[in-house]
Amino acid sequence: MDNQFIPKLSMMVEKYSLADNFQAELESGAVKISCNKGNYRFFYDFNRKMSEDKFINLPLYHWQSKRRYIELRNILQNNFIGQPVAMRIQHMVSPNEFINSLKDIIIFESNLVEFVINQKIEQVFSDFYGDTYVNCIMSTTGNIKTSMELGLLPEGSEPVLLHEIVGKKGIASDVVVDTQTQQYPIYVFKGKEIQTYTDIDNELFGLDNTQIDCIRFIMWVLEDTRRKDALYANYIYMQKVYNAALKANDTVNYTYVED
Amino acid sequence: MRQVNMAISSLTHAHVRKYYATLHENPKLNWVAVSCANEYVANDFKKYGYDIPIYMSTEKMLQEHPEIEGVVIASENDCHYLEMELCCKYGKDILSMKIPTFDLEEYDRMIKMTDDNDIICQVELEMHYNATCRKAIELARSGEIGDIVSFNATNITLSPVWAFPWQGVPEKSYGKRVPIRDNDKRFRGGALSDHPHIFDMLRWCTDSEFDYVFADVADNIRDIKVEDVLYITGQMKNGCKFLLDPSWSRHEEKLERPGPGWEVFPKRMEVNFSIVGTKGVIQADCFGPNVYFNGGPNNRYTVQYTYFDEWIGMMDEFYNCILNRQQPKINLKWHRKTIEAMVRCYDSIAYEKPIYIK
Repeated sequence: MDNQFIPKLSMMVEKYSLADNFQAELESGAVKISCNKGNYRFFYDFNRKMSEDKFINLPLYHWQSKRRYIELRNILQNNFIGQPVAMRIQHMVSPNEFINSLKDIIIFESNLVEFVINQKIEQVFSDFYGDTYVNCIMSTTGNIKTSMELGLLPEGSEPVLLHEIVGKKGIASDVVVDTQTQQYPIYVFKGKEIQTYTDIDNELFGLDNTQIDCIRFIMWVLEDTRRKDALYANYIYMQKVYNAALKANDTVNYTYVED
Repeated sequence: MRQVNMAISSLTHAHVRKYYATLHENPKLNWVAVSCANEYVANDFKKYGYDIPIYMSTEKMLQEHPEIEGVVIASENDCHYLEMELCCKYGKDILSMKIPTFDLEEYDRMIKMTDDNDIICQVELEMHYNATCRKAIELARSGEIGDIVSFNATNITLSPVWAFPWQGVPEKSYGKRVPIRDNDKRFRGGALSDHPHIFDMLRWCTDSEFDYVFADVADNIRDIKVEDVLYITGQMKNGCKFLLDPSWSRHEEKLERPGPGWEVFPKRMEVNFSIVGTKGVIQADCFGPNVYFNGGPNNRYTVQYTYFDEWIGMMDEFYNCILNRQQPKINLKWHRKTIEAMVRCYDSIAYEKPIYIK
């Protein structure tokens, strides 16, 4: 998080009257907030052992606030592509503040599957290549099959990201037809140099998009703090999905998530 | 937090649904009432389920609700003057639609009456609050690509005429019936009248005013009375060239109420820039990338937009202007030169020659 994060988070909480006496601070892999609605630690480093203190630990599922994933979910909810049967995911990125390990990516994508298709993951098959790459097939309670290619790339690599849902009437995807790489809203071409820019949110202009998603996710929790219980329960379940992936790799078996 | 009491008038403008959402969600704004141009509009508004009092006359609404501070004049272009007059009479600040009027003499009277009555009048040019647009123009203005040689932009959309029929009626969209040119059955008031944004962006990006415009119109792709495909080129007073496409060149289904399945081409609305400088080029897509699907009502490949938060920033500015009694960045006086340039584009089509602007 950069030095704009806390001021912008505070500004948005005030603008939308989400809490009184709001205070926030950063710690490694987490954002701590205190307000009249409670004390919360929103963590995004899923490898770290959580402190046991006055703060309620909650996972910072920032991807649930990303517009592109919200709209994929809306496409399903509006029945534009019919009953979903499968989802194809690629997520290979160089390590960054929010993604440091395969565990981070597995939790990200497993939770995103549940968020977009609104079903729980029930069964996992996985095949790891060390701590940098894994292929998975997962199955949900509604028998939707998901393939995942997840990995960590060398520093500075272009991200490989794809989320494609196969429905009985159509396909939804966050990658436009006939392209393989990420597209950006702005390109600057200067000789051999190509710069890209990703500004899409005017209300939080100047902030990195993942940090914007973090702010909007924290706002969503503050809107109704009763959401915290389901959120924490889901994180416990995501740990079990991850453990099932490890076990599947060890046993070479399609493994049920222990619940 | 101090709330500002807001109303919307007429409800016939294509952007009105955006105002429903914004006034409903923005905690700084207290949505007091709406006035409806006719029973059809009133019945349509009721379907959205907002618990807001409905009036069949804007004046009646203003009389019944003296607490109203600001009015979004969401009416047909030819009604704007009378509604502004009402707002001035009752001392209400105004958020004007993007075309206050194409009649420049009437436009000057609008400026005078709002000035005389100390009325804040903001013009709805929401692209100023689009983050991609803002960043692209900031980059260009900062010298990232050297001096700007040419500013080229599209504002290409489907046509709203089936859902908002007044946009295909020359008297309502342009204000009067003016033939597009000799020996042509069409009239002014179509796609060009719907797309002032790129003219405004050009002025903002170059910090200069129009020197001349040259425009030509294609044959229509629809059977409507107003133009739907045209191109414009010209030069700013600082020498910067431009090429603009404000067409309704994306086909649509003839829906009476915009909704899923409206578009035929996958992307129903685009604003793109190609800003050419002495040291490079900026390419920007102000509404992309997005997510995509095939299916929906017509089983077509379709863009599902992931943008559209421009109205938040625009209403925030209007709120602050009302609170602090200051004129907004996009006010009537600033916008007049954009409107004049658009009128001169119509003149260029009519006379088939470049039109210089003093």
